[in-house]
Amino acid sequence: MQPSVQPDRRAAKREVAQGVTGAILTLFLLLHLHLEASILFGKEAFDAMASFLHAGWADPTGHGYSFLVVIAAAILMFIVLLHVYAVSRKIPVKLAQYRKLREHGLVVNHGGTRLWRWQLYSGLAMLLLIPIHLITMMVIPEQIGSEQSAARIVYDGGWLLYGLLMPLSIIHATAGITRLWLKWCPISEPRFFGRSITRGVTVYLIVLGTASLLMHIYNGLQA
Amino acid sequence: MKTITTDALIIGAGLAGLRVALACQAQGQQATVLSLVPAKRSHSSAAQGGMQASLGNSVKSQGDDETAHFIDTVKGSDWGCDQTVARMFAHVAPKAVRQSAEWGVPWSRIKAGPRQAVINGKTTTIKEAVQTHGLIHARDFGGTKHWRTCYTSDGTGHSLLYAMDNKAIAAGIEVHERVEALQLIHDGQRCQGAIVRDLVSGELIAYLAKTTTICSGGYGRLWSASTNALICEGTGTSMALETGLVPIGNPEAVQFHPTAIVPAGILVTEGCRGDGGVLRDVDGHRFMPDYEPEKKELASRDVVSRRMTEHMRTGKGVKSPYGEHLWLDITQLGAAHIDKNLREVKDICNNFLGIDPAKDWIPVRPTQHYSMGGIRTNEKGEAYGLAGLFAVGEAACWDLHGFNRLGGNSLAETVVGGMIIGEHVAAAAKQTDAPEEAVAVPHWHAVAAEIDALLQAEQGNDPYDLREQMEQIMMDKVGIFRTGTELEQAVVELEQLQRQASELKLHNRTRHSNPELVEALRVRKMLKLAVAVAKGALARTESRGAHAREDYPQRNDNEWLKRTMVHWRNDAAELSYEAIDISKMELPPGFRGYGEDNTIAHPDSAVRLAQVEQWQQQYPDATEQERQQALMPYELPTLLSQPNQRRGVGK
Amino acid sequence: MTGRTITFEIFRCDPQHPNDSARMQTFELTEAPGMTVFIALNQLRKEQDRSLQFDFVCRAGVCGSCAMVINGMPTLACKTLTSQFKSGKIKLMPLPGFELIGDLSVNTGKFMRSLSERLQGWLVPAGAERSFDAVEATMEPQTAEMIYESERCIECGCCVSACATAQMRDTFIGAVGLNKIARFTLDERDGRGPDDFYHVLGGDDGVFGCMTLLGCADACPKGLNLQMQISYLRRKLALNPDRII
Ligand SMILES: Cc1cc2nc3c(=O)[nH]c(=O)nc-3n(C[C@H](O)[C@H](O)[C@H](O)COP(=O)(O)OP(=O)(O)OC[C@H]3O[C@@H](n4cnc5c(N)ncnc54)[C@H](O)[C@@H]3O)c2cc1C
Ligand code: HEM
Ligand code: HEM
Ligand code: SF4
Ligand code: F3S
Ligand code: FES
Repeated sequence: MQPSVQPDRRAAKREVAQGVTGAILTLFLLLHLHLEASILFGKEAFDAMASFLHAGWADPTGHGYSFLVVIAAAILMFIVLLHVYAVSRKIPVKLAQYRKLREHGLVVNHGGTRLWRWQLYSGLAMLLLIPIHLITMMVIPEQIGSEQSAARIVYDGGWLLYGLLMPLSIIHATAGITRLWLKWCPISEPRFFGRSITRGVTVYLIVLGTASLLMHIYNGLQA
Repeated sequence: MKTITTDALIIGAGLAGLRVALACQAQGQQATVLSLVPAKRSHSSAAQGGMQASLGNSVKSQGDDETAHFIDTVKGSDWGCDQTVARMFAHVAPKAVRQSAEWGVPWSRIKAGPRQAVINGKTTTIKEAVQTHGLIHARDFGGTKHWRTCYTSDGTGHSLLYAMDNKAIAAGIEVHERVEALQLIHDGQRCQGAIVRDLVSGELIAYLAKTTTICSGGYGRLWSASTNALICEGTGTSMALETGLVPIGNPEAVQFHPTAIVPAGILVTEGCRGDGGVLRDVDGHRFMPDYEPEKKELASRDVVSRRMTEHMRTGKGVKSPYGEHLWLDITQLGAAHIDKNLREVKDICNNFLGIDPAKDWIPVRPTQHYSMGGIRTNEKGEAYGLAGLFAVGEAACWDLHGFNRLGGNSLAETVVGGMIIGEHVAAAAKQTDAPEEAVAVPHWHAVAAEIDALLQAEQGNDPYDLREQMEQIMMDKVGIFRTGTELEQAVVELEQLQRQASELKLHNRTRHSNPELVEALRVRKMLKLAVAVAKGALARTESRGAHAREDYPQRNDNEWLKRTMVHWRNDAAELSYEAIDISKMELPPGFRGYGEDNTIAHPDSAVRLAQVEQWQQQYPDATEQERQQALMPYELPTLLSQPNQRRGVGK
Repeated sequence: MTGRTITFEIFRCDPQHPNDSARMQTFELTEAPGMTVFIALNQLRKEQDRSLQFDFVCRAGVCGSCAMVINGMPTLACKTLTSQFKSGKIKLMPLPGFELIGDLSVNTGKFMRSLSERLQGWLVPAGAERSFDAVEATMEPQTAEMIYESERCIECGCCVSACATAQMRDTFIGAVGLNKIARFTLDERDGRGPDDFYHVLGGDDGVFGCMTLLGCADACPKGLNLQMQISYLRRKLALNPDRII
């Protein structure tokens, strides 16, 4: 039997795009958080890392090129937008849907669904937070370094931004990546085991991120 | 009066009903099916073990054919069945299995090569031929000469019913769910439909039809412990009885299944024993070989159930808060086999007993299971007494099973009966004029008045109470072993209850969805049926198949080779009998092969046996068809009459 | 634990009654050994309230009639032992996402029939139907087992009720629908492949609407591996090498 209508591939494409962008973002976040954690080894380590990423090694002056940061941030911005576009069809748009979601949560008690709701709400919050973060980075790419960062965090409200973004992005990303695994992988049993790994990784990342953030704050207050 | 008109009205959406509907639709007749519940929830879905058909694919089925199936069925019935029907049935059963395979049933298939099986308590190696790889498999069931029971894991009924209902949806057949037929519409001559209550809205609707077919299943719920679904209350059967014109055949022929779990009464399939499980007593002793050295656990159901009861009476039962029981031991089959082929059993043990059947023994005891009796029909499925009325499946007494049904023959009966009788129903619908609405009016008013009265009554008995008493009487006095004294009491008490049921008082006066009203309407019907069962059992002073009279232990062909017929007249059950003609039998009455032969023979049996043997000696080279034609001719709709091909093993 | 008193909180509503509104009603009952929610509800109806509505047919966990939400989990009431709830409190709600008939009774039958009609949930033969007089077509034993594996669904509706996606989007076919399609795409007797189901399966009502919440798999009383069924379909439709994404 031949398919009667030419299949519409949009949904499939978006599904794949959503997963791929989500995975890239998650990997980026993982890396990002660990690089951020270099502050725990001291300001020098953080600055060395920052300079390395600015390709300080290629620049004879040793400052590196700030435009690299702008490009990177732009690329990430693009990926985030792509992700948002791809997942937008899953985001409930009608108020009635939120009501259903809430009512359902009251009747049926299911952990996996609760986690998804966290993912939804964290995603919506990040819709605001990530652009702030990325635009900041694009606007002042040269001001990345242990001191400027600490100042930003302590005095320019960075503590609030990161204090929200860090846990939200971590929860969103770990929940997302587990979901991605369950969605596609032919060997995804037992799913309960996967869920417990997720929990462990999430806790670890939040501890790590909090420590880095506190270190910046400590440094900022010291200065 | 709201009316709905159709060509073929079918009451019941189990396997039998759906198969009849499909046959009608295929013949261009509009079929409308009624059901208490969504079709796929009908009781047919609960059948686990399998469906008999002589495909003869597996090594253990080698040499099987229609004749072997026929002989097993007749012996199983203790010669109580209609042999012509058994012949027709055995011929069509392979077609039914093969057709259902085309319709989507994922029958378990043969895997070529050696495999381990537990036979008679020992692990044995069986080797399947390469040529049969991928053909439909069969398992061993009680009372059969060859392995003949086709199965899908242990969800045979489920997969059959799903395939059938899917097919019905594809054919656009309307199934009206959550409705209950309450009274047949007829003018004393011809049945023209039924008065039906919508269980949700409470509306009464007159369904007018050219033919009406009752496929409403069995009446196991007359007993307090039954393997049957809760909706197997026999109201369809009783509705026919209530006309006063249509008789119920052999109501006393009731089967008790050896292995229902204690206390829930949920069945674990005969497949457990077929696959090698054994029965043990309080000492862990395997007792069946003591009683039945040849067939052991796989003797006919009635025999095993009686032997179990006997054994418990010798003090070998296991005591429990819920009464005595015995053990079913399937541990030797191993976890892998159980996980694959006996999953439902595993689930049931897990959920209701909290045990693992691969490790623990299962507490079981015999429990009411199947109604061989039902609306008496002829070979074409036409009910006696009213034209245009048919019955198929467990609701009918087409009389395939006589006094004992073989495991796996009932699913087969529903589909085969649906195929054969479906053709007759369609043909009748074609020839019949449109029904007349006027005939329905008095029936509609009668039902409406009954409901009004129930909703208004200020005093009367409690329907739940009456029901409970009835169930207990049936349990205690109309069970596996029966005696004249107990049955007499049962009849008196049931008749008393039946009279009490004319005055009922309800707490719930809602006109629409009202469970108490439903209960009240049903208990009246059930009590009539209960009286019929008890009266039939009391009158039959012999033991035949599942009907075991302690005071009359012999099978008495001389006086009792006849079918009980119960009419409901003047608000009482009236018995009469229909002779079973030995001179027309292909297989004259003989020894069934269990225990010792204590049959009181009928003189005609020997005469007929001599006739048959003589013919066979005279025409040793006769073909199967010639033989059949000479000894017991039967006629099938052309569509179903072709010979069945078989692969033959080892070719 | 037997002999203790259990408290039932039961959803009550008769939608056919013009001025009846939803409420919770509390009942108390003495627990008996081996008591299931089925036994308890029948006892409550008989002894305390003759108007209580609920559905049971097989009372053995095989027909799918009795699904309801028990203490926050959609499941079969007939096979739920009351002893498993240590608190002695049992809250019963009708399955969300289905038309309410009354109290705990919902119309899953109607839902399943229309789903089946919409998905063409029946076998569409690959070729002409074989004569039933002839030896049947062969099938790999393993294929038959795999088909049966997904055919074990009893259409109870638990998966639909446990799925937030299905609640938010009426047209989503849910795990029961996805499993149904998987069953037919596995069956070589069926002429259709995943592409033929694409119009529904390939959109947001089908596999790409599923957000892998897995409430379905966690609730399914038959323990069907719905996650694997759905991911199989997703891979098949999205990553099929014959198609360029
Ligand atoms: C636990 C169990 C296991 C079994 N296993 C096997 C097995 O392995 N092999 C085998 O061969 N047999 C088996 N049997 C027997 C077999 O399942 C049944 O005999 C057979 O399925 C009956 O089918 P049916 O179509 O006649 O009726 P059912 O499937 O019982 O259907 C009856 C239909 O009638 C409807 N109905 C009833 N009354 C009314 C009314 N008044 N108005 C409207 N509708 C009505 C119901 O809603 C239902 O749709 C088993 C039985 C039990 C109890
Ligand atoms: C900026 C705003 C963002 C929004 C609104 C958003 C929203 C969502 C939503 C609603 C989902 C669920 C989709 C589904 O269940 O099918 C999702 C999935 C996912 N998101 Fe995000 N997200 C955002 C940012 C991010 C970021 C920054 C990351 C990584 C760090 C990320 C990683 C993921 C992953 C891995 C998935 C799983 C993909 C899948 O299920 O196919 N998302 N996102
Ligand atoms: C290329 C783009 C990015 C650059 C250059 C960048 C740079 C930085 C820098 C320098 C900091 C330290 C704080 C500061 O100086 O203000 C930081 C912190 C942080 N960034 Fe980014 N970022 C980028 C993208 C992202 C994205 C896409 C996310 C979200 C997924 C993200 C999430 C965070 C979080 C959570 C912190 C706080 C870390 C912690 O608590 O340890 N960043 N980022
Ligand atoms: S998939 Fe499971 S939960 Fe869903 S309807 Fe089928 S049996 Fe019920
Ligand atoms: S719960 Fe719903 S979202 Fe998908 S995985 Fe199950 S269908
Ligand atoms: S009553 Fe059949 S599944 Fe519960």
